[in-house]
Amino acid sequence: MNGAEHEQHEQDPFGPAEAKAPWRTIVALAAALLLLALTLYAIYAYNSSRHLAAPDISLTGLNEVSPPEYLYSIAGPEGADALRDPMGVDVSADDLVYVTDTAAGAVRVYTVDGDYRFSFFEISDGKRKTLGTPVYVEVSSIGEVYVSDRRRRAVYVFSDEGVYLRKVTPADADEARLWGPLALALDEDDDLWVSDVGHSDFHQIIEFDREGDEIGRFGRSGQAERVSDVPGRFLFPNGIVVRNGFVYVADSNNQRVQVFSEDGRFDHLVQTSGIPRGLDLDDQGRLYVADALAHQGDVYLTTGERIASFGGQGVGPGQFLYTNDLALDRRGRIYLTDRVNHRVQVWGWSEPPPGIAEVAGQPALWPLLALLLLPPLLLLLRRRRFVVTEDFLEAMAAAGHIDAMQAGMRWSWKKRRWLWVVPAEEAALYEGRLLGGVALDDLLTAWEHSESDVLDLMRRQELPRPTAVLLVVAKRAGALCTQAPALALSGRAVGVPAYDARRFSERFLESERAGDREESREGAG
Amino acid sequence: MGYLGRTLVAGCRRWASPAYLGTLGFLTVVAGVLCLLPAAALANFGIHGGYSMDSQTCAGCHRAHTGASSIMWSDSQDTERRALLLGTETRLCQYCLSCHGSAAAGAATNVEEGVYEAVGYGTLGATLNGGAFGADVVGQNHHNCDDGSASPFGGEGEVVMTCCSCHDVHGSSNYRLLKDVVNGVDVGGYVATGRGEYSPEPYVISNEPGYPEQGWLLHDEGAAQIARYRPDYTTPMYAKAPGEDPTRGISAWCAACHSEYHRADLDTSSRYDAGDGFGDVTRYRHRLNVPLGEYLGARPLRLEALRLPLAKDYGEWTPEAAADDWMDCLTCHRAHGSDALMTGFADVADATDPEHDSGSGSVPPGTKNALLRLDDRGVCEECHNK
Repeated sequence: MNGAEHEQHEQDPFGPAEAKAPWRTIVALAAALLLLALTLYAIYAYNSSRHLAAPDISLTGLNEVSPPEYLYSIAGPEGADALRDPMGVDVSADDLVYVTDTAAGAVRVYTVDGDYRFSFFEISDGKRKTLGTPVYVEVSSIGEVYVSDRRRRAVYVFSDEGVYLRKVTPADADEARLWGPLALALDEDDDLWVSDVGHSDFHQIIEFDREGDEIGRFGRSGQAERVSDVPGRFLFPNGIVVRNGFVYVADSNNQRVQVFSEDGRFDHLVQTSGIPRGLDLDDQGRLYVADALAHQGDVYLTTGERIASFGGQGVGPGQFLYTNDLALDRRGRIYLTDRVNHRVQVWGWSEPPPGIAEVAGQPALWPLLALLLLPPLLLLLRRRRFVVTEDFLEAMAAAGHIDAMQAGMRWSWKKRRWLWVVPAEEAALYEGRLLGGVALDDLLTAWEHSESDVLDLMRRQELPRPTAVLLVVAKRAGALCTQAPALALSGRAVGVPAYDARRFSERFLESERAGDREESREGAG
Repeated sequence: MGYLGRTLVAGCRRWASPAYLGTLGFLTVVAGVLCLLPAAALANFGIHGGYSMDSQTCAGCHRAHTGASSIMWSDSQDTERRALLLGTETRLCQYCLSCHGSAAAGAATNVEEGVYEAVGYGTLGATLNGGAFGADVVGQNHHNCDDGSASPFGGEGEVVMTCCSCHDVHGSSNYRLLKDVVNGVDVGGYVATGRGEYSPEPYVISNEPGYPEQGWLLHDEGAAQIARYRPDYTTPMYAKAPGEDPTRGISAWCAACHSEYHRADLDTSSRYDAGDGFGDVTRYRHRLNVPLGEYLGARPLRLEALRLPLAKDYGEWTPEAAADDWMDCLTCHRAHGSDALMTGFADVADATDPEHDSGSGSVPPGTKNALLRLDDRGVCEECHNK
């Protein structure tokens, strides 16, 4: 500021208030931009991975989940029908347990209590009369049993009693010859979802309707260098579960579960500990995963937090050697194939498992993001406050701007709202008064003052009490509107910018009109 | 400057007061800490090697201090060390078969039945180059992969055989994860070339599309090589030894155990007891790592429609045999196991057997096929055309 400008400001009581250090404004601007950028990044990161880049936050119940307990095993009868290599398992609505025995080329059927019922393996597929290498099994809502056969490259469908009904393959004959069905799932409509690993470059998910006609497919092969890499690509997907509009796929060799919408759009990932194979989902939204190389079962929230693990490697009760698939029955019990131990293990929650609301994880973190958004939001919503004096109001009314003052109090996308403030001590002065057709009761807001601040100001500035009250309230509001130069000067002295009616109009009303005119021109253009 | 800009600047002017700056600074620090903390991320978890330096994959199988498995690995001095594997597993082959087994749940290479179960890197349903391990397919005609001890033909002592006796699941400089040190013998590896840099020195390379002649690099560079590589699991596309050095190649690699079958001095005779009843006498054997054209018999070798795989110059693979192709161990033998049938004289390798294939004289009936690719002595006739 040069000397002439300084002299002018000395003479002008409505000159700028004591200037704040410009470096502070720059620092604040930089910090605000950084905050905005970090907030946007946090939102982006969350949407990308469904993981907030933050340490784990313990939520109610999350660390208090008792893992499921081992109950008993199903091993089948001795002799020819003994379980040799149980790979896949599912439980029907009428409490029958279907287990694929890959080495025997058969499906074994048990009651949920472990009593052996029967086996089946006969098909009628051209020259093929028996199952080859059955891997996974799913039972539909009407009791039909779907079996994926790795060697025969088909999904065979049987009645609940094991009578061969039909097979499901892609319509194209060449593709039907080459595809490699592996994991199976049936959705609420009994549409069949199959993972196809027949072509090394095109591991994919194919959906068929009840009649076996293809509805859609998605995915291809891809090795993830990092867990979040190549979403939508798979490496030997060994498990599928479809529920509530989402498709959960165990992307086994990429050590993750990918979640898609039913039309195949990638939604998010669940990072698993080892090699996830079989999947199931309970009615509380808990995702159960059989981990083949960790020799355990894991329970996750669908958002990715692991809430329990059970099992471990070994040959004893409750220990696994290469578990491969799991299924839930209608009581919530968990059936896991224990492949090299030649049995199916049954596990159950020792106490009612926590409801999803109690262990809800990721959604509860959203308020943190909202907190980050609050400062800029508040900045946008905060009203500009002016303390006004009676002479200022009369001058504005005389200039025909009192309506503009009232209009400025309403919400607008174009500018911040105004709040007209008077000290509560002076509020009575404006009660019931009309000015320029505007009721001052509606226009003005009364603010209380701090008596200690008033007394302090009176002592330091030697001001009369009404002036001190006005200035204390004006300091809190941030601006003073008055026609009195002496009052404006006092305001400047305490760092409060002051405006008379003319300067207020030039500063706020004119710029607003200029903005409107600019918009009108742009609209016309 | 639009309304938002004006508002931002105006707000920042107001926040320029010390009180607001403190609040703003605190919020910025909190947001910064939230964003700078490590997000959930796994490193390169290619199943078999090429791991990045910040890999978390190790913890998928190993525990540094609490491993409960007794499974061992052999160091470069052939001393057995604990593999520190997770869990209490004592047999390694099941670990491998959980992916490479008959269900082919984690790999299209079903080594149990010796079948390639997909298309893309081989012919669907075709026999794997290495053959099979499963008893249902090859009986006992396979390299032992289930922790049993074996005395290698033409070798000394006993070798504990598992999948990892031949393959390094974490990657190697060689073709198909073949180990760099076998039975205490260097057959590949890496040499330090600078600060933290290593250069592969493989014994075995391949002519498959995209196979790197220099061998497999480490870490991200190796991952980049893998991305360009198109293996073929059912069509042998063998290459001669790197640099056409006859003391290397797959024959030298096999000789880490079968030491007398391909000596470093390339001598085709040596004296040792082969356990066949003849005792410690001089043994003579077929030449290896030599061009077929060096055979100068009265009747030329039959090279047309040859059913045996030969090793060719790197980068010049064709299915047709040529005179400068090498024969090596894999020309006649499969590495994993073979279902070739041996009958009559072909199944006898014991000089003490008084009557061929009779089971008399304490010599059991011969059923072994020595992992040969063709029935009886078809591998001889295939070339020599007698």
